[in-house]
Amino acid sequence: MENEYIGYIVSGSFGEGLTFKVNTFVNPENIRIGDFVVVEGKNMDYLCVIDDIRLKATTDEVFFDPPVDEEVDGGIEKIAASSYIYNEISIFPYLALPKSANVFGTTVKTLPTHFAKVRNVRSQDFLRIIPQKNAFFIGTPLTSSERLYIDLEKLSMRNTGLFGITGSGKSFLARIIFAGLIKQGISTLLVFDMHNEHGRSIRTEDGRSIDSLASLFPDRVKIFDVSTANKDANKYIEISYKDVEPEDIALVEDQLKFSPKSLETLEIVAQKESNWLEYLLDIYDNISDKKGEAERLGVNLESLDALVRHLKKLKTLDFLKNIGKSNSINEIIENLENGVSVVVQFSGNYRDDRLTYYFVSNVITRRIFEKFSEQSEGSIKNRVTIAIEEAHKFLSKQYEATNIFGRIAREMRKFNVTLFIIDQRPSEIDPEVLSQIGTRLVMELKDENDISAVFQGSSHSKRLVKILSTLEQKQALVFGYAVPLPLPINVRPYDEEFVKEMKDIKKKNAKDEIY
Amino acid sequence: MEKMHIAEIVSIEGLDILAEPKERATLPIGTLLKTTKVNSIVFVVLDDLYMNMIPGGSHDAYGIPEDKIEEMYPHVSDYLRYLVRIYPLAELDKDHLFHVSKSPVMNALLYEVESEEVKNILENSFVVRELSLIDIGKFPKRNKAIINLLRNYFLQFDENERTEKLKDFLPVLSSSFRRDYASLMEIVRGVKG
Repeated sequence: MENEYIGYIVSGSFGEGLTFKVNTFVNPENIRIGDFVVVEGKNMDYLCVIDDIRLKATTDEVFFDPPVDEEVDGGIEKIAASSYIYNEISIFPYLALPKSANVFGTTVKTLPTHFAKVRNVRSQDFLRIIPQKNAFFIGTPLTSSERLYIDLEKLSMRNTGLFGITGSGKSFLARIIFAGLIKQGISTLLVFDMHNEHGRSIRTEDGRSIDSLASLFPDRVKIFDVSTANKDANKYIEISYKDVEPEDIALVEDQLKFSPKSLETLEIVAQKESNWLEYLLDIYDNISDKKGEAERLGVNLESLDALVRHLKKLKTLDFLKNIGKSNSINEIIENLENGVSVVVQFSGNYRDDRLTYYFVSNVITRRIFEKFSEQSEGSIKNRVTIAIEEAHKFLSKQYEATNIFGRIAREMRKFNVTLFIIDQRPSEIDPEVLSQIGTRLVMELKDENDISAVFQGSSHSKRLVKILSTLEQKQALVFGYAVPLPLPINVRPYDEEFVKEMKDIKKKNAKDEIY
Repeated sequence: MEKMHIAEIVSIEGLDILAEPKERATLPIGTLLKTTKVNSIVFVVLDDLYMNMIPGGSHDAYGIPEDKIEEMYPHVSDYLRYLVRIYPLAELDKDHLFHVSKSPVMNALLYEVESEEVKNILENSFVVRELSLIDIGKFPKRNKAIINLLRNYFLQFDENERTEKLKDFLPVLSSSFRRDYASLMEIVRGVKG
């Protein structure tokens, strides 16, 4: 068996972490940022994550007469020079593992001594990370194949953020977590499925069709769609004019190409006209004395004309109707209250249409907020998780605190409603909302501002930034409430094996594997 | 039959110890010698020289080639002697090696250390450390002596084993010479060939 001891501790502090020197015959290129190692102390072992690697020399002389390449002499001169050149690795201890086996890890309160040995992590070490019965297999370490788990119960108790550039694998990771939440009955989901990925099936990278949420859990997931073109849908959504508030229009002002005065004009009209949307979409055009109308409403005529013109785009939304309060939104709410998850899809002409996505998501969510906040705290037994993509649109700094998603992020935890936000531009999300996020799953990010944003409010951000910078597609850094230590992971594949596991009638959880 | 000695200690001034070989120029630098009678000390040969035992004299003053001196002036060896400079590395006590704690004895006889014994001696890391502590200013041929010593040691192993043995030995050598990179690399390059 290859020697698993790779070094020994040479320095450290409680705030800054530990440093170990790599043993002479260990190839430092096999040590990677984000790897796990264990420091064997006298009373405790310490589960650590590597966050920096440094090349050191005790004298400059070695650079003026360097040892020859290994290919020349089989590595003799390099071994000889090992007292002068060495590798130093920075690690941070996140979890203290008591020496007794099968005892779970605890918060680190002490440090190991000088020369404590550092070794590669073993499978048994990972099994001692999460003690809760809701441990869910989420992926493997970056350079090995042991299983890593997260606590889905804890994840669902607070807002969650999943961040990454386009193509990093966010949708797959989101779907894995959604499936876990539904399978273990931890949370009921309302997923605003912008790209129709969480319905009946999806296409894998190699073009095969594979079951998605509604097929995995046919009794526990319903599909609602704004388009009747979707034959997989259980119900079609209709939104009444009366369901719409000015705030819903404000969210899509870019898509409607509002002029600067349009929003102000809209607010004034909405205050003056109870059926303001019907007035603007259906009635105003037929009024002959438009100047008189503008004076009556107390707005500028040109602004009013412009507003009506821009709002015409809403007429292309067939699901938006001048009817009484629509039942479809009530049905969505009823499903959620009964523990049935809902996937809201946007098919046909509305596929990938941002106007429809933002508009419909805001309207439905606002109704949910109103309904749930009527109830007393703690009376809602079902935990509800609302999943939104392109979250920076809903939660950006430019919108005021009254924006509905912002209010849910800040206020709805006591009503058992949390957000699961999926986004590629976290720097555009209101920092206050970011600070409310309990668990962060961060995939590949390139923009410096986005990288700074995801670590806002979290400890060890400098350390974690280095790990994040090395992540590739389908890898993630998970940290926060749902995991006792930051977990750099290869996300488990969403494949036939996963589908089989989710459909398995016998409920198998991590505890079965540990004991 | 008792083994014959090959040299005799003739001068001791602190760590500056001279021995006279029975035969001239037969002890290359790097050879290990030992005393056995009064105390048992292992020495390494660090230099050889001709010394005029009359203070102030020099064989150069004769003005004739060295190989002609004895022929023409047989008495010259009474005053001009071929000597080797040796350095104490370790003390042997019941097959264990220790740091030198006793002084060598004047006129002590020196015997060659056998190959198998050389192996055992060099497997003690403190001996390697002692070699690194020899003052190169006083003993300028120190590194060459170490190279010769180690080359002979590794020649005892067959070719396949030699490189691995050298690699196993290097961490100790490297650690001992951790303050003298230039000497370390000179020695390593001299040994590996």
